[in-house]
Amino acid sequence: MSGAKSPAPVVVLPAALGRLLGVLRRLTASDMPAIAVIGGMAVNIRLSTADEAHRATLDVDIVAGDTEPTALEVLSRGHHVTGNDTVVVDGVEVDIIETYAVSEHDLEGLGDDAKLFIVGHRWALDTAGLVGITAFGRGGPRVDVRVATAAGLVATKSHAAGYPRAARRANKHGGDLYDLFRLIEAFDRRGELRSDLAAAPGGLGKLVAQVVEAEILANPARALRQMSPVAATVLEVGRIGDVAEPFVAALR
Amino acid sequence: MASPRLSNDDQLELAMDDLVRLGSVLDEVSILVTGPDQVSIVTRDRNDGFPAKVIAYEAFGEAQARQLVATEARGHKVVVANRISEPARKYLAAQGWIWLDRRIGAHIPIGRRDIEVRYAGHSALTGETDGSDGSPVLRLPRPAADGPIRGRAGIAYAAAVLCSPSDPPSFRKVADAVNMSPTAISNAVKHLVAAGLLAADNKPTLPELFWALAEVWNPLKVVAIATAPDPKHNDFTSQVDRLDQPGWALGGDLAAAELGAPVFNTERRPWLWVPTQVELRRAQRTFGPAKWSDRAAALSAPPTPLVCRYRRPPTPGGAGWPLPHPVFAALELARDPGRGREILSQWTPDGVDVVWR
Repeated sequence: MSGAKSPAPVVVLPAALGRLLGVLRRLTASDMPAIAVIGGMAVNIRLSTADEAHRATLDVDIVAGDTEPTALEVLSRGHHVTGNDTVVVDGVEVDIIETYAVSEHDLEGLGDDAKLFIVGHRWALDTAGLVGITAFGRGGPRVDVRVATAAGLVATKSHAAGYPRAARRANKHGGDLYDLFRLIEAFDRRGELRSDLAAAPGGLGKLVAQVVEAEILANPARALRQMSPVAATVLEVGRIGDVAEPFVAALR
Repeated sequence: MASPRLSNDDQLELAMDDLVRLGSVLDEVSILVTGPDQVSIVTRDRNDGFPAKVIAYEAFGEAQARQLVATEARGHKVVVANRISEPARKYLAAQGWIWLDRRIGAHIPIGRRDIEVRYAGHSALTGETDGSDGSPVLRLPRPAADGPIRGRAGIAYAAAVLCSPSDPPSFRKVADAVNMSPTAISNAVKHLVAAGLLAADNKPTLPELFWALAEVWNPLKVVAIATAPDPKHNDFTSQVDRLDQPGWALGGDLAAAELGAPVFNTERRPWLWVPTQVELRRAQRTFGPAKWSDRAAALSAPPTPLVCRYRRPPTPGGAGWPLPHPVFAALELARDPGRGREILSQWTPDGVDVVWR
């Protein structure tokens, strides 16, 4: 994995986000099963180690292992549960996606949507790497938390971008596409992501490539139109094609 | 485009706004309002401005151009109009005058060469490919069409009333704060009332006024600098300890996070609002220009000077800069239809009216 080969990066948050350290400390406590941060926060953290990062919301999305007690069961002790998979820890919403080890046999008969979700999220957990998180001007030890690698995030974001529910497509599709595009642009310059995804189980590389092809490469002008309102930098059709084409070609 | 029913004062006010907006998208020059009918054209290279009188028309032809050139006193002039005929444009350019035709673009002579601006889609109208002296032509998108909040006065009053929605400020108070005439503010308010964004007692229609202002909320100028400024730097009006005076204020996601918005961004390089474009230029010179990717900070002239007037004390343990009113942080978030608006939907700042939902 591209993330696992490097020494654990350290990310320094602005002082105003210092309260997040307490949340991460709770998520990494010894009574918790294995977890990894995914979602917009993880995209921002990973991008900040390589390139310009863009805004995310303050909620924490995690993937968790299936050992018992589950992450939801642990966190629901002493914290407010607001939804089927959501717990509020120190005022911050934590959304939990439980994952399960799956075999090729388990995937038989499933559609690409379900396969990408199940395999992608589990793979993001299995391959996540430690990142040291601290806050500027704050004392106290840093928190070492597992964060999905760029490749793992591409897998999970591909599901969000490729198979969104109607509400997500209406409100978050541009942001999901932009996350996906920026991850590939920043971390696949020498084909690292392609290589990681090609070696992933369950045909994950091909499933991801199908999404990137359908949502970005098939119509870069449409992708540009969807991403531009949320983009932190000026995008161009040529740039989008240059990033997506070799990625898709290698994984098709 | 300016309405043909506008009074001369309105035409002049809109002309000044259009010039400032044009300067905000040009790298070579800034255009600053320095008097009721006067702007200063500040070039990047020399950083010293030359004053120019602004003359506004609905339509402008060659005969008017010749008469004006013959009768006006010496000095730089800018003609702004919805339509300037081609012979008039050529004549004005030959005389060294600046012109801005809202259909076509602008001509700005700055010493050794001219800046030629052409709005997208005009070429069929003029057939031009290069500036009159062979200078390269800058292609820019045409400025947005008329909306209820268009000029500096409309932006200023809308911003002021959103910061104090239950007790709308007087025209004079806002005019004093942004260095405009109460009449200009009053005229802008008429457009807001006509659009239903303000009631007759000037109380805002919410959240419509907020989202209408968000549509036109753009920094006048943004520059990247190589060294991060110190809040206590004495050469600039940062006024960290004088919040009753206009001064620098933190912007961007750092400000939103310090104000309590549920935003996550590891980016710690500050975005700072600077009161005037003159000070922004001076700061850029002091701290050194930088490529955007290599910046130590970003400096920006705000859409209205009120951003640098309505300030709050720095957060203890924060970035050390005064914070803007939360409405201004919210307007920045509102420009991002993805995460920004999601964050706004969840944000209820302490002690402030939530005017965005």
